[in-house]
Amino acid sequence: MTQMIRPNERGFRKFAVLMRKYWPVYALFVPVVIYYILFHYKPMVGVIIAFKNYNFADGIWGSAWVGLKHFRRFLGNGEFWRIFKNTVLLATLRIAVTFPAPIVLALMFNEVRSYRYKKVLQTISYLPHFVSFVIVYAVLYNFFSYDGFVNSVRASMGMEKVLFLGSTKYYRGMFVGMALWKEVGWGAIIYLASLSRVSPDLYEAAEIDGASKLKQIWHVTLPCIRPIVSIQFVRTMGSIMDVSFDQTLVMNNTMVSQVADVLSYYIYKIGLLSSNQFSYATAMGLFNSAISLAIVIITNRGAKLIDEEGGLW
Amino acid sequence: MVKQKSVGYSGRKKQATPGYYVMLVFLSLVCFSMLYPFVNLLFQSVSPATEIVASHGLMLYPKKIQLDAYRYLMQYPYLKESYQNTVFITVVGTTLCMIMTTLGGYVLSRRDLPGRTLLTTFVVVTMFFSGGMIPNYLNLRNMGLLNTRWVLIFPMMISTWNMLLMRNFIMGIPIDLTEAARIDGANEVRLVLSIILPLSKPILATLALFYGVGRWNEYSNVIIYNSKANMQTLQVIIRKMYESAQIDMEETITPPLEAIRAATVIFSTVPILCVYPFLQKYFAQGLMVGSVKG
Repeated sequence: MTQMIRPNERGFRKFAVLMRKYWPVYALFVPVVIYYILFHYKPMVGVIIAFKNYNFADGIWGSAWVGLKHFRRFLGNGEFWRIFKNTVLLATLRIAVTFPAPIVLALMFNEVRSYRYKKVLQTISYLPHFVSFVIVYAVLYNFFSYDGFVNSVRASMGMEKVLFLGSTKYYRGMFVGMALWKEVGWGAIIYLASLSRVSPDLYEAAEIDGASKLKQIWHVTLPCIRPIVSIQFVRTMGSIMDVSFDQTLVMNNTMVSQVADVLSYYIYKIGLLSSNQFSYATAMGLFNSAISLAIVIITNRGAKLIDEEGGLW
Repeated sequence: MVKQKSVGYSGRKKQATPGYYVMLVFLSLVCFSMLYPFVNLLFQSVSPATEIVASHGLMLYPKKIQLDAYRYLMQYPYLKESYQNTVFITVVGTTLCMIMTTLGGYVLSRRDLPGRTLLTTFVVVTMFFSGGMIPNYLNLRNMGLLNTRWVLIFPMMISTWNMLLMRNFIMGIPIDLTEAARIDGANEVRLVLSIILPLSKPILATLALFYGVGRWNEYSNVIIYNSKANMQTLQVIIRKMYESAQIDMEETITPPLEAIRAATVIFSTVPILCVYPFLQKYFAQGLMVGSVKG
């Protein structure tokens, strides 16, 4: 018996010593823990309403269980699949354009010889990142609305006006273009920072070997920034299913909703905007998060296969 | 953390090829396309309707200057309230964000802290799992936060990613410095205030800007959580102006719609443009040091 108690006692004493030493540090963390519990973990528990018929009167715990009813409902719903298709299509298009673009821009910035001019260009290129999508839409509107610049010029040249912001034909292009314009400069910053760490000796060696500029970029620059590219890629893939709720909220209108409605927006529409189908919308949300989690894990695994140091974790 | 001096191409002398100049022109055009639209909106906001139409909507300079649009804006319904809300959530929100993020980042940076891995996991989990829009909404509703300014502050107090950047930055501070302070008898709060914070200026500036801009640009959360007319933010007002073909014309003579819209955009963009050149020198440093994996 004494042998059983002793380690316990020692453990307790050790704990007491540690607490005496570290309690101020833990105390500093208490507000953080409270924040995470109230605003992150509590809603996570709330996800169980996806398996219930939620109503305000009975609350989260009192509402009746319905199992997978809501999941069966949307999986058998044609409209859901149309929106799912929109989501995948827009997300893929967006990543295909907005992921490589900052890398290319960073490579170009890196070649600019005048330090001053490079700084000026860079500073300007961050600018759109710091305004909201509402403002970006205002800029877009200026150029592409029915009475905007492009149509005004078209009209003066005797051409027909085009409804760029209100037609399903142009929506995807506008959507991707808007995202590109907003984030390309900011996206380049992280690559530029890692480009500046590439040792100049490597370029000199490549030059002595007679490598052209493009060859140098391919064989020296890109391999050097590969780890950061892979980290950024996994991060981007993690948010692929969100397809920017903000941007959709700003750009969507009744004329384009056929192609513009994406999952995050649809969940908002079903759950909060038109009808309060809380449980049904939550079920779709859960489906959405499950897919994005799977995508992150798969991408991370892939990144690790290609490069030991790659991936987010 | 060994800081490597950045050696760019500028250090190496070589003949510029025509391709180089093509690239330079291209880059200049790209950047022009990012600056000019704002300048154009500024010009539009001070121009009469005839000038805006005559220019096809793109102005190189304003021919006649009139400030009617701004005067009109001052009486625009709920603009004052929205502006106050935006300023409130930006100032109070950013302050709370910075306090919470610093606390979390500092504690997680303590390598010697027992249970640090557990605490890190506790926060990182939320990056991969979330309740989603509806459970979040119901949670905030239950807390009675809907249709208040606080709903645009409390739920966003910590961005986990930013907190990890903070942690990584603090972990780069030489341990000797903090040890010396501790031997001198400084307690945790003193240590954070007098050693950690002064050494973390780049990351503090970067994160303050991120949080500040995020709060200032708040749009979608307002749409989701706040329906009352006096609980909106500037961005919502701007979006509304672009929604309706006509904004309620109470007076018989009003400035052109384009000018009013442009004026609102300028009105909400100028504060951001004012602070960001001062903070931007910290971006690269703050982001890079913070993004070391660990």
